[in-house]
Amino acid sequence: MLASHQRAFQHLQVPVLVLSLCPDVDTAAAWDSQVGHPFRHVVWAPDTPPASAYAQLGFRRSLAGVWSEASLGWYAEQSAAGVELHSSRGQDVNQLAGDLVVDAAGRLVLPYYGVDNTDRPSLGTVLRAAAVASAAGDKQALHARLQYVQGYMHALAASAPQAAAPAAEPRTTAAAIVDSVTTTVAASAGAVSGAVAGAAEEEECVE
Amino acid sequence: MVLRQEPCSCGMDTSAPGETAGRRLLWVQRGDPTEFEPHFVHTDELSLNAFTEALLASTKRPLQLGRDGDGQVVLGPQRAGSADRSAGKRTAVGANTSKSNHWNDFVEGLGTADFVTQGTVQAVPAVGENSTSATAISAAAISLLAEQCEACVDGVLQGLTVHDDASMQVAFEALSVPELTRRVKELGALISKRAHCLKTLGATRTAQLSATVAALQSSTIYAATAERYAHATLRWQRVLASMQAAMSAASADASLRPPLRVGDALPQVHTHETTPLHPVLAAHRGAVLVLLRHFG
Repeated sequence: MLASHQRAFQHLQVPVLVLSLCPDVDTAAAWDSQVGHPFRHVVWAPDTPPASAYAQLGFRRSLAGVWSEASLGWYAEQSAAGVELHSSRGQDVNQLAGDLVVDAAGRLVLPYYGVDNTDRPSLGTVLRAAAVASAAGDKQALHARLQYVQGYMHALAASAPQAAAPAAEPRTTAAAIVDSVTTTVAASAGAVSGAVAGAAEEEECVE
Repeated sequence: MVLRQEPCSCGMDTSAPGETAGRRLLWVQRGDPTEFEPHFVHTDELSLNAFTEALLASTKRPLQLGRDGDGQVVLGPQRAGSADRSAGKRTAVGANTSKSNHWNDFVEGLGTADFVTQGTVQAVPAVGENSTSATAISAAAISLLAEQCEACVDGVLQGLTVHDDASMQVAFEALSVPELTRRVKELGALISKRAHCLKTLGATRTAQLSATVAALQSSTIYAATAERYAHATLRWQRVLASMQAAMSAASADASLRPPLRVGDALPQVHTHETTPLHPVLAAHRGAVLVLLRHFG
């Protein structure tokens, strides 16, 4: 989970904000308590239904993405491992989700749309995108941040190989992610694109 | 079919009910109440319930008994050519029959076969086959899961007239969105079924289940089981695809925007107290927005 890597995001000065289908503050607080994470949980405005917000951000609903063999297989793994599966509390189980990394100006650096309930970008991909967002076009800053991310991932791989090892291959291909991030980087920092391309080398998923 | 458990009457090592180690003798009744097949079951690493469930599924194929590497009697799938010795009335044990004598006669006639064992017992190569007892357990579990998958898909399609993919989609399109949502949830039962299957296989990941199915496909004995599982999951996929198409047509959401792309501006989406998200971003050097799925 990203929660284990908060210090990396703090170093990059890019906070992680949680957005959800929770309709109000109380429900969001209940989820926070259940999961236990250090991030800010941003709740939609009362006149902005969560489903509408998701739709405005391009997140679609999908039966195939939620009820397929691969999707239910993930829940089965959790169940077999003794993890308690919680109620959806009436929220739309067919709503897909994902991760958006944006810069301070609100421009997308990494749009990642999960195609099913397990599809999330790797930690390395998110961190590299956060580095790009944080650098705000400053070539030297970008280089330093990407170096930091590279070191962080190497240290993670050394200390917890299983954490850095592929948990699952993201359905949105690593190549596409690298392409999208590299597109942003290339104009100002061609020299570090190799570090960005390292996103394909590790695949620890966000969730 | 009824399973009943009895103390061993033929000198084999058995365990009392409730114990998790050792072996148990199970008399499996087939059809006629007087017909029982004796099945010895290792329970070292597998619960009796899990095995029983797998056994119930596997008995759609003939079973036979044999010996493992330690000379212990175990249950296994029927070997080609041995049907006359192992199935049906040949193994029947009536109320007035000496189970011990019958058992011994029966086992003596079998020779080496495929065996059902539980992890700690050495797998014994079968005569003419390279499969192992663990494969038999896996096949039984996969067979059961295929059956459960079919049942869940049948639940989704219940009451609908479906001849092919086209008629299936038409049938789904005639349903309301709430009804589609209700029906698709029939598949949710497969979570516990698959979890149970994983435990039976001693697996933790779905990929291991897939690998097991792939391994069965190359077996002459269990290829049909793998085929049945593949058929069940393919049918599952086709039903989902049809439901998705019907759902999309019925609930086209005008507010759904195309996916954002690199460089796009984040749409103005208001958060609590009508605060746009953008000031939150501007206060930092950007943000990672993690959009969750449903609660839980």
